[in-house]
Amino acid sequence: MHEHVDDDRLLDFVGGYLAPPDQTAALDHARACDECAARLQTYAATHEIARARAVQAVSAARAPLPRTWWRDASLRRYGSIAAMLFVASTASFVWWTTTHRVPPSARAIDWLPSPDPSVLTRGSANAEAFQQIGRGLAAYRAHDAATAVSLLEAVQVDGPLEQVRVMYLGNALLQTNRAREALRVLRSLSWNLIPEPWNGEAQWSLSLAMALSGETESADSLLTALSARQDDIGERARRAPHP
Amino acid sequence: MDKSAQWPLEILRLAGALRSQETGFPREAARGDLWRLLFEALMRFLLSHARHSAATERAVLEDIAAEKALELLGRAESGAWDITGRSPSEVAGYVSTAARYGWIDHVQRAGREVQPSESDGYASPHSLRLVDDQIDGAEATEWVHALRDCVDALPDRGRRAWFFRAYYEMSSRDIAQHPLVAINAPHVDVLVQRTREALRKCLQKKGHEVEDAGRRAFVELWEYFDTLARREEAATPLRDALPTRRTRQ
Repeated sequence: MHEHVDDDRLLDFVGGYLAPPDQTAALDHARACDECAARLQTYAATHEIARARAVQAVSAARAPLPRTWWRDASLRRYGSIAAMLFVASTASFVWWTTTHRVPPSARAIDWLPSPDPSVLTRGSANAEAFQQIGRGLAAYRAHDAATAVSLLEAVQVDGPLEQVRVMYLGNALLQTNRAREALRVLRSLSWNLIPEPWNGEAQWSLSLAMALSGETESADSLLTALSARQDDIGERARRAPHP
Repeated sequence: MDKSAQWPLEILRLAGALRSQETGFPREAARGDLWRLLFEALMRFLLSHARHSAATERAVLEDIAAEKALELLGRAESGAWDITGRSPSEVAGYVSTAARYGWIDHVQRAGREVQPSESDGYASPHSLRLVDDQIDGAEATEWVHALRDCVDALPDRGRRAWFFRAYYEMSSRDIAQHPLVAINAPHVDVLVQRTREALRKCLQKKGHEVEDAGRRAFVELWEYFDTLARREEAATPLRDALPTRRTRQ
């Protein structure tokens, strides 16, 4: 039997950093070694938990709070006052939102995060189509939604880039008040192929398209699902008035 | 076979990607990937420290790792932790030291003394029943094949949620937030329960009565889900634009 797989190797293994022969050797060893299989299970669990929590953790890192502010007595006092003001303003806000329902159409139509030009570096089977999508994405990046729509809807490609095209086209249609078309386009997305944070942003666009197209029940259901997220999108969804 | 650890090299690469990207997708992806890898590396050392402390729960170690990973990410972004030109062993040493300080802080806060213990496990009430300890040879192989066939027939989201709960003991919140599941947390328990039921029925049809799987099945299922994940990654459009390196691709 080969020697046991050490901790560094298991960490590399679950992260996919090993070369294929080393990966196979480690897996074969784990099949025959209960102790190594148990340790692999621990490392694999850690890997998936890290994947699950990364988006939320990184969002938190964007606006770090001073770690020791609460130890300062004067800040604690001001903090108490601020907390009381916060409670009062929250109560006012709740009262206001329950008595002055904002229509779904008033929700901001956010622009998706800017597409990276390197998405177009792959494949050259249909160079003309790739170039047109590139121009469409550039127009989108410049917030020229009408041009983005005209360029992106006039072309279609195979493979992963098609999902990029559809996602940005859907949002650009929303920006140009073509909610029903946006809804049809966004519904054709293969959601399991779209990673975060674009997945969440595109779902946000979809919920808007539903609300603006009169599918209030579906919009509400999706908004409720988005509200459970622990990131910026979840925060946005919790603040949004449900249709 | 290259015996040196690869993960410190990956930390170096991600920290470099973070410095070179001002804004946009690649930078956000590098931040997420760096935090994730720091979390995993810190857990690797924390698990080692905690082997000598029988009473430490895994969730506590995860909290320490999450806090330290965030701290290191912040230091890398601000330039306070500049690892340019450092060797992989120096990076590993730095992460190890961060984990050790995190562990010492925890022990001091908890007012506990670290007692060496024979136990190195994280037995929990939800631990799996290692049923394949009771079966062996051809029977075990047949059982594992049956399980894999049944898992293959399940809907993708449900089988992942079930696998994460059954083998990783992940909370509903973690499963809900996982990018390959991405559902509302309250729905996770229902989904897992339905999937478990479907799995049980499928296994019964094949003449097996087993409810939960053991370690032998774990390795097989891990390989199965890893293959699925790699297939999805290969087909993921925007990910290709991001600075992720997966050497085994």
